[in-house]
Amino acid sequence: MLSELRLRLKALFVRRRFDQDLDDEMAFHLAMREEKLGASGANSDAHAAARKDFGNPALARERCREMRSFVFLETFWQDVRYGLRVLRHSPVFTAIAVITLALGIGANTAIFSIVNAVLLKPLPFPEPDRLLYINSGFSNQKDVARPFAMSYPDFLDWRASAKSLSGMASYHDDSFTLTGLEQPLHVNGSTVSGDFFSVVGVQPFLGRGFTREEEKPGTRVVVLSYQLWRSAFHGDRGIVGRAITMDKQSYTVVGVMPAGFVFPMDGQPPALWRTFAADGETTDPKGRPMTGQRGAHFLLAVGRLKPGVSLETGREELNVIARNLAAQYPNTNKKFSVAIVTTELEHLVGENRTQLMILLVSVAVVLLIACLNVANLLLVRASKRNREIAVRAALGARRMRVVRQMLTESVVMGFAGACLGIPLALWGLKAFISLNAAKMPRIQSAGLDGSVLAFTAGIALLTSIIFGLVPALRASSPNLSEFMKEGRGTTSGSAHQRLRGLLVILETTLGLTLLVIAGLLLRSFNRILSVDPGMNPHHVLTVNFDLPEKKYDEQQQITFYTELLRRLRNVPGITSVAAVTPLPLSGNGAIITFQIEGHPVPEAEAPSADIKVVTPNYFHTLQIPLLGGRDFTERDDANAPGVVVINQAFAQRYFPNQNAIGQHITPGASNHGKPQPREIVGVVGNVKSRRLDVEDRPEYYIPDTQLNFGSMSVCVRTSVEPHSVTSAVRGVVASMDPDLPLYDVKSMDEYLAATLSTPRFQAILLEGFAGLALLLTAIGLYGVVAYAVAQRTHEIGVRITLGASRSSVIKMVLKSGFQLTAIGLAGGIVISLVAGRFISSLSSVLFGVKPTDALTFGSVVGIMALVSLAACYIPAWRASKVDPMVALRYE
Amino acid sequence: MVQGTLDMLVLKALERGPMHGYGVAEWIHESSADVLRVEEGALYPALHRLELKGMLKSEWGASENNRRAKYYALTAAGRKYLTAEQEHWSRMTSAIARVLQRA
Repeated sequence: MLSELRLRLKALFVRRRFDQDLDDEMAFHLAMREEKLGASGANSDAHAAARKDFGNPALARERCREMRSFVFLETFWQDVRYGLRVLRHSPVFTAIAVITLALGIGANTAIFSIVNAVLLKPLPFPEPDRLLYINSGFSNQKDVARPFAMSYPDFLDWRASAKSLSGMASYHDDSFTLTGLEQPLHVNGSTVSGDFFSVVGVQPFLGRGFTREEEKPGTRVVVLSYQLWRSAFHGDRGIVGRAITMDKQSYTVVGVMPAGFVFPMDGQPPALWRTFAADGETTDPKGRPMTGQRGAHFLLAVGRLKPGVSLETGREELNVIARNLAAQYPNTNKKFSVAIVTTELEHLVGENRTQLMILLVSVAVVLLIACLNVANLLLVRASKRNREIAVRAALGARRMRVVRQMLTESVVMGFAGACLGIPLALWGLKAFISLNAAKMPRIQSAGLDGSVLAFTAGIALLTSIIFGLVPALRASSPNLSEFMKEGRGTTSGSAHQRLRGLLVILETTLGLTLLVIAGLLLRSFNRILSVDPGMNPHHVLTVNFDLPEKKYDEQQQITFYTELLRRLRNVPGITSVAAVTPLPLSGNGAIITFQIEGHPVPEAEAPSADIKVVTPNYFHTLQIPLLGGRDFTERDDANAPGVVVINQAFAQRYFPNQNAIGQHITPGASNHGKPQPREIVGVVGNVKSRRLDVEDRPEYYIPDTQLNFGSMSVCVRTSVEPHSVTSAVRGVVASMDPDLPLYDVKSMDEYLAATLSTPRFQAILLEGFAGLALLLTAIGLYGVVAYAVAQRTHEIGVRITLGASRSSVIKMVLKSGFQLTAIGLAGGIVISLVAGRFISSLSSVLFGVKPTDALTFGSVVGIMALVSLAACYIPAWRASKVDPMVALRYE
Repeated sequence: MVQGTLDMLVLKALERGPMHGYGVAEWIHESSADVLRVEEGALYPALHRLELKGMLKSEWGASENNRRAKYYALTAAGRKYLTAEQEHWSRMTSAIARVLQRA
């Protein structure tokens, strides 16, 4: 058995010697026989007689060869070479087919590479599917629970009671200013619990992670990221144990994380991590630290399932704990009675799944259309090669062999398309990533790795079989004698034609569907674009810096901002200044409960709304309309009575049918001691603070002199291009305190554009695919009609001779071509309605557009009809120009 | 002629000693009193097949009249196979004969 294998392998490689051997053997045999015959008489034709007796040497050779090596491989290679030759002989056809395939395969490869990097690849942590993302679930009884941040006391209780988890860690993002380096440096970081690194599963490569002990207030330890360690500390290996200055406080470095470690993975990658010891402190002797406030929800949490415990079990247990906490602390936790638990991967990419799936399906449809086009081209060529195939069959080729050879040709084309498509994919990938950068997590790592290339090879093979099978089977049909006849009008020719027509109808249907979806997305994007954000974002520059608490107490912070705004007002080019936190459209927000004076409700039921802390003049700077009452002034300071400004949605929700001005509400937050009631002194217009495509939410504003929320974002309205005043602003800030680096210096327009980037991007991409599909469909239609015309040249010649006018010829051709289009459009409309309904049922894809939007359907059908008309018109016009004498002679 | 039968005859031909393809064909022809004539188109594939299976081994050598020829010889496995096939064949033929005798 083994020796047989060895012999076959040897035969594969030293084919010529084996052939030669066999020839020698048979020559010897022949010679001996010749001798024998010659010896017994009839000398002259001994040779001929010997040969006759010998039988067919070629057959013997063939049989021996078949026995020897791996026949399949040899014939495959032969087919490949033959296929390449055939392709070379018709370069135009080959070029069109290969380019068509390259576009389809390249686009699919690019999108799959992104899907692979974002959705499929496991997270870079040990046992990533056991890492869970845990949220409190907030619900107003009747609503479904929404994910919400959790509070420290809740987290600590959860951590202590969760038996199904081997560990649970909390984190929230923070920003810090490092001083004592060459330049003051602002970084983003994370404040985490002690078990953070062991729960995530990666330990520092220098030093160590944190311990539970280090959660105690007063501890100041920090772990650096690799990036920060190299850039700010020059990769100093002795950094562990040394002190650095953050926010004017001394922190000890205990570890450095390995390169590439990022957690949390959404948002800005943290440059360092510290323990929540800082949250356990408070500057106000009468106040409670954050770690003691059960009602302050701002933590995110991750946990690791114990081995053998399922996600369901873990989720169940965490729900029970949440329920118990709600029962134990109804005032704070009544609305947080459930836990929302998913895997970390799901949390990261779940939102993007819909978007990516739409892209993947669209690009697959484009590839399908490309396949149909190439199949069409092959059918044309197949009917031209009928003669060649008939001859081969007559020479003894088996049907299977012919089919295999044609399939091999298709595979060669498919792989040529794939090779051409890969650089296209790389280019598309780069474009995609640069357009989309911050939005999708993990997208940076999308590239052409092993699994993506395997996918490419797979779809190349699949598409080759799809477009190759039909023509191959048709061409190898048993009625080959017909093909030997000269001339046209064979029945199989018209069967071909029907098939090609069917393919074009399919293409039109698919193309229309894609165009409709793209059109809907474009309309949706336009709708979002035209949403009024409630403010004037043009010509507004925003800058951020962190005032360290160590250096500025509350009063000093107020003084700082007041003075800063006064100085900025004098900068040429700046017309209005203010400060606010959190900044609208920045992705940050804060929600605080409140009580309405005169209608108290139990603490557990208290309503909540978005809150912003602002300086006077904020509404004027952002041009938010004042609908009633007044703005804050300098007189609304710490000693004056508490005031608040609400937005229209707030007034409509909580003070319907009455004048809200003069009423009082008590927000659940205060600088010191018990929260006090505040008088509503003004009502302003609604502002889209978070997203453009959601309803207006109630919002209320408190002056910074009466409530401290930490560092604020400074907004300046300019009469010139916003960024041109950046250095002036930086100069003013530096002149007041040189240790305050600016960060996130962006114009309000940029924030607005960032909100729009996803729907814009989706619309653009899908338009691109739809456009490609339209082009391919038009080419396919043109091909079919042109070929039909060529087939009917004779008939057309007869018609013209018999007196038909040129325009009637055109009409005839147009009619037959347009018939196909009409059927395709009808089918496409039906499918588009279904697809559109399906897409609108997916979350937040379509905004303000019904899936049956008449304008979209109308314009898309119109465009396709026009394009199809053009595609049919060209061959029709050429047909009308036919010289009847030539046509009549045409066979 | 059935393939298996041909194989058996070829092996038998080589029982006495190594021979080239022509010799095998002639031996079969003569031994069967000119009844069986093996077509070369069947002979060489058979020889090659038996060699692949390990029943024969081959070697190039010089023939009686100093021509270059390929000689085949039985291997031990070939001998065993031949004995087994011969036994099987006799059993089959006697059984068939017995059936045909019952008139």
